[in-house]
Amino acid sequence: MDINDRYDDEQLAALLKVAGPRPAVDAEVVRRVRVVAHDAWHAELRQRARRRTIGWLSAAAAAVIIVILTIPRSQSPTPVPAVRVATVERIEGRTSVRVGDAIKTGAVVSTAPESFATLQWGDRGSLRIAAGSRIRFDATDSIRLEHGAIYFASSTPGKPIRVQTRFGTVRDIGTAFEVRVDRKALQVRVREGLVELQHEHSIERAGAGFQLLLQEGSGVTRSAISTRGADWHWVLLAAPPIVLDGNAHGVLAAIAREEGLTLVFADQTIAARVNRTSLHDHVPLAPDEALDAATLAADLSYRINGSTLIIDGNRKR
Amino acid sequence: MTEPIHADRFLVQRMLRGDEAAFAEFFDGNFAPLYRFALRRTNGDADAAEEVVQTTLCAAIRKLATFRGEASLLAWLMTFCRHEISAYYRSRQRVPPLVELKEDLPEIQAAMASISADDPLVRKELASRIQSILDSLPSHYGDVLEWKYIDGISVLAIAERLGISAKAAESMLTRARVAFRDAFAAVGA
Repeated sequence: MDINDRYDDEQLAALLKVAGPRPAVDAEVVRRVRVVAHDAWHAELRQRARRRTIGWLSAAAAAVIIVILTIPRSQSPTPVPAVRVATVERIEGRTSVRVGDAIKTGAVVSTAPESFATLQWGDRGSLRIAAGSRIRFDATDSIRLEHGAIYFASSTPGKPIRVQTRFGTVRDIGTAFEVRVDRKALQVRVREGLVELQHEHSIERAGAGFQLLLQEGSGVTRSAISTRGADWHWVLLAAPPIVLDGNAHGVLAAIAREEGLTLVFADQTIAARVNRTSLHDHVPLAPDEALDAATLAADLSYRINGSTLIIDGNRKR
Repeated sequence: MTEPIHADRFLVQRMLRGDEAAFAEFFDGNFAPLYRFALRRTNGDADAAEEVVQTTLCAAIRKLATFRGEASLLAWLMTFCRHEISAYYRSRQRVPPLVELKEDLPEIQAAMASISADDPLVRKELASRIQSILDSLPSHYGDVLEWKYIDGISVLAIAERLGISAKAAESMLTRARVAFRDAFAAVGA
């Protein structure tokens, strides 16, 4: 039978079903080889730049001499020194950094599957790097997310950061948000405040409870999302520990933020009481543990209604 | 639609300019097929395949400027990979497995002429060969064929996955079918 005649849809399906899907490659192998290949690529780019520079210098030697003779003092480019940008607070699993590492501009941080890293980004806020991600610190206020996902929760108003991706640049406007990139799409999920996405010549903004999705070859779509739940689980796992030390209102606000909840008080009396209460402890706790411990210590109770954390004083003794 | 080889040449030019997105496209588009190519030729030795592919990619990246686009980027990488496989076994004073010869066995060729191969061994070799053909097709062709005919995904869903229109996805499927048929016929002839 002629092979050309045989390949209608059904026969092609039958043939391909004999083969079955091609085996997937272990994500860890992909990550390892990608890191090495990426470094090799950058080394080659640097090598090419050096070769080009030498070529230009040779070709322009005569012109340079003239410039030297005619301009008494010229300025030579000064290499920009690497600046300390962030500190590693927590890691889980396999990452390219260790707790306590100082991260400088130009540094790359990567995480293996089922791992994460939590960094304190100067006084700008908390940066969490999800499993299977790779970022590069381009500047003191800018990272490049090559793949994977990050979450950023700002702590200082007026110190915005930028997350650059191959699809566009995300800029925070005092907020908490997640940026996720894969081969085909960029997803920005906003938990708090406002985020701006610059893509080609357009700017899109999204507030808390919304996401922007930019797929390759198409425009940006916006949809409503929940600010808590399974999609944010990794963010909670990667949260820096909370220490019950300081004003109870501040501690509860920090816990609520990590949980993606809005903090409210049952009434004004409770609010005033919480504002007057100070907590003094030094044990680092996960956010859910901290909520139980803080309310217990301050003789309060809490309940969660949807995305609201309600603090009350009528704790059962 | 850009010809795949022209697209590869453009991709390499972008990489040489330092475009991070181009590197991602280069790696994501070629790593898995190259790895499976190496795995088949190292008798399923995952460590050997990883080492070989890593050295292949590094060597190819150093020679990127010499890529002229006479063949596809993947075919070009496979040439490096063959060399690295030989080097890998030479350095260990071992002989590479004769995997490529297996694919030329008369029973395999006979199986290719008959889709419903019952012998499990022949079926396994046939499956391996088909997967190898899927890997050798230009960018995304293997994926769309696998999604459509093995996973049973609709053209619309494929279009969404690739971020292209349904019409463009249908057109890609048609080209992928032709490319597969040609590659299969060339092997089975």
